[in-house]
Amino acid sequence: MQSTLLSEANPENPSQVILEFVDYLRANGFVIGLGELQAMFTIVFTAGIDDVKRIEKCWRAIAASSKGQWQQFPQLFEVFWFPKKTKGTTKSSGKKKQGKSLPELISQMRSDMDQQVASQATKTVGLGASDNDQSSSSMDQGQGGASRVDPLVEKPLGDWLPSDSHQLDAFIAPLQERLRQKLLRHYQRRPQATRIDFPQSIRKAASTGGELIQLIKKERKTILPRLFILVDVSKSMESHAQFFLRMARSFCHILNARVFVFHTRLIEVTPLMKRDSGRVQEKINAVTFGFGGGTKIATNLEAFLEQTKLGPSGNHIRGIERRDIVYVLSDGFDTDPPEKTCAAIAAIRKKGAELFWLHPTKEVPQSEAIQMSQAWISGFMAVSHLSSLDGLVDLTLKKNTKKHTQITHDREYLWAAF
Amino acid sequence: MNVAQISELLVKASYIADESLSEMVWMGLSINRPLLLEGEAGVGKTAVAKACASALNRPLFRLQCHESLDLNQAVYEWNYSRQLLEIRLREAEGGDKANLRENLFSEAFLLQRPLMQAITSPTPAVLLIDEIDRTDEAFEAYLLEVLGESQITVPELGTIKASSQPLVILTSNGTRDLSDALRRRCLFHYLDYPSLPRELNIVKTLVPEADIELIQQAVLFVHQLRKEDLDKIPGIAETLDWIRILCTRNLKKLPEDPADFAGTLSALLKTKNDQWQIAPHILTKLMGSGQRVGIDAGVAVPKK
Repeated sequence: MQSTLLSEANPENPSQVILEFVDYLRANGFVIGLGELQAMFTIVFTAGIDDVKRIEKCWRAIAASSKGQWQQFPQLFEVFWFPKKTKGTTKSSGKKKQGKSLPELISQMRSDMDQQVASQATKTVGLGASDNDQSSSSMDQGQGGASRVDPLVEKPLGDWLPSDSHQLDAFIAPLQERLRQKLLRHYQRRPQATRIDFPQSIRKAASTGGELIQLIKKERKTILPRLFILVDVSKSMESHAQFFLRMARSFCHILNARVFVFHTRLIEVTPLMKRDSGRVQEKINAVTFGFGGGTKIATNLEAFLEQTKLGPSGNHIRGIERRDIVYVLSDGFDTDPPEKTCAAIAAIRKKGAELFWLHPTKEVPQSEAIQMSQAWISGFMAVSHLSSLDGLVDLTLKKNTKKHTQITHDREYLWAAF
Repeated sequence: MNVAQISELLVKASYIADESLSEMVWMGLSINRPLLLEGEAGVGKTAVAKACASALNRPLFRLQCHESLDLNQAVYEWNYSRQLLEIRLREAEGGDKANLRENLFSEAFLLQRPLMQAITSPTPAVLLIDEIDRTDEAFEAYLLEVLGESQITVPELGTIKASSQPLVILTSNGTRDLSDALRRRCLFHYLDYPSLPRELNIVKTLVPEADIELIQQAVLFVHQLRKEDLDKIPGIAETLDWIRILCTRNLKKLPEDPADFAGTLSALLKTKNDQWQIAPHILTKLMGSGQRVGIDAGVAVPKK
């Protein structure tokens, strides 16, 4: 079987089969240009077609460009070249080309829709208006026996499946792009910078007999504001906590946020958020399951302020500071005295950080503690479905750029006065 | 040179490559394409380049990438001190200034850095661009010319083409997505943690002083340890370090009581969380299951 890789597939035109295979790979997300195609042919001519395993290994190195593709390639190779082997299994239906790429599907859907509209228009010629109305209203009802389903972005949090959670990343990614960087006091050398590092330039000039030939330039280091996510995993948040933890995982992956869960106690779960496996989820569940009694938001916020001063290994680091961002994901029900909660929130804000309260309810939490602390909270947002995260990015960025605008205005004022 | 010969040469250079890796090196040499090796830290990516240089008897030029890497460190730099000295000497001698002007920016005053050294090497070299994911995108874009055309453009001199085709090996830990343009110019290989028999071979080759029974038990233990939910999974480098440490204690096999070797586990467990997580009872469990897996895989003998 091995010696018949190309001859069995298409004995008359083997290069045509290779092109079909390349198309098949492209349809599965592989990026194969002319260079890769040429390399694949070169390998066939150099290594020969006798050894299928060898060709598979060589083509795999040429075609794959990521870990996912590296792992996917052997299966695709087998499905394409040896459909009989995989026929009847879950891997393949035995067809060489399984499906179309997303752009192809979209274009086909569009053309189908155009045709449908055209045919409907043709059918309704000469018919009464009532028929037309009926056909248009039936579009909203769902057709061919299929029922209408809410799009994922409008799905309530309780209906979310773990497999849907990858959609979250797309909503959080813009925040990474648009968050204003924090300037640090430390400098770094950078040829494109505008500020000249005179001490370093003069030191460098010593090697050229004191002639200042090469100017060394420097600029302030920048980092993204640090993000902290606090997820309430109390009984009242039972139906929403899973989604909020998924959301926290996305923040952790994309923005390197530190994640804490709280109920009666506060525990950091950042290391668990960095790996996405069933066992990790079990651990998080185990951590949250052990909590009992009423939610103590104030106590936990105080503990949070202290815990941010400790790094992942328990080492002392800089705690929460100016322009850091804290998201509290909670319904606001608290057993601590309202004054204590207000003081704890104020303590975080006084460090210069922004604190946003994300609640699963439509309205702002009505608990006395939250009502009392409203002045200290940077913003409230109802997170009931995925599309509401759009608002989160806008809300955060609005606060994130406000001070910048203020500073610019101050500078303009000073400049005018000068 | 065929794949079998490359495998053999790599073994002689103390690198046990699997078949697909040898195949990839063969392809890199045959069709002159750079090799991009991706994988977790400690699986032997950098060692491939060293082994290739040793096996093919080629000079190795290594460029260690970091955040603030610039062209002066990676490609070339003008030797300003020497240029100044030359000017002063000519002034003192009263020599031909027009000639000086022409010669001042010649190759004689060029300080070659790893990329340039590999391109201009008279004999084919191995160029290791280590941890490419640590550089910025601008440098990655600059590399496209070097990798695609095997040439470097110096504005004062023009384009310098490779006098011999180097074998370029790029490594990446996958901390950042590399551009498609760079990936497409390379042959890709994902280096995973080695299989049990391969890791046994590697350890036997690189730690010949270790007892066979100790190697088997230790490698089985590490394999079981990798299945635990660790922050930092130990790679081959960690296995080798650990077995070397056990050898210095003159152990012929793993002690039955985990407490006797718990102190040496810092060679395998590199974070506080991991050290805390692997408690004595888990060590005992790992040793037991390691034995069972070894018997199933045919690399361990059941106890009588």
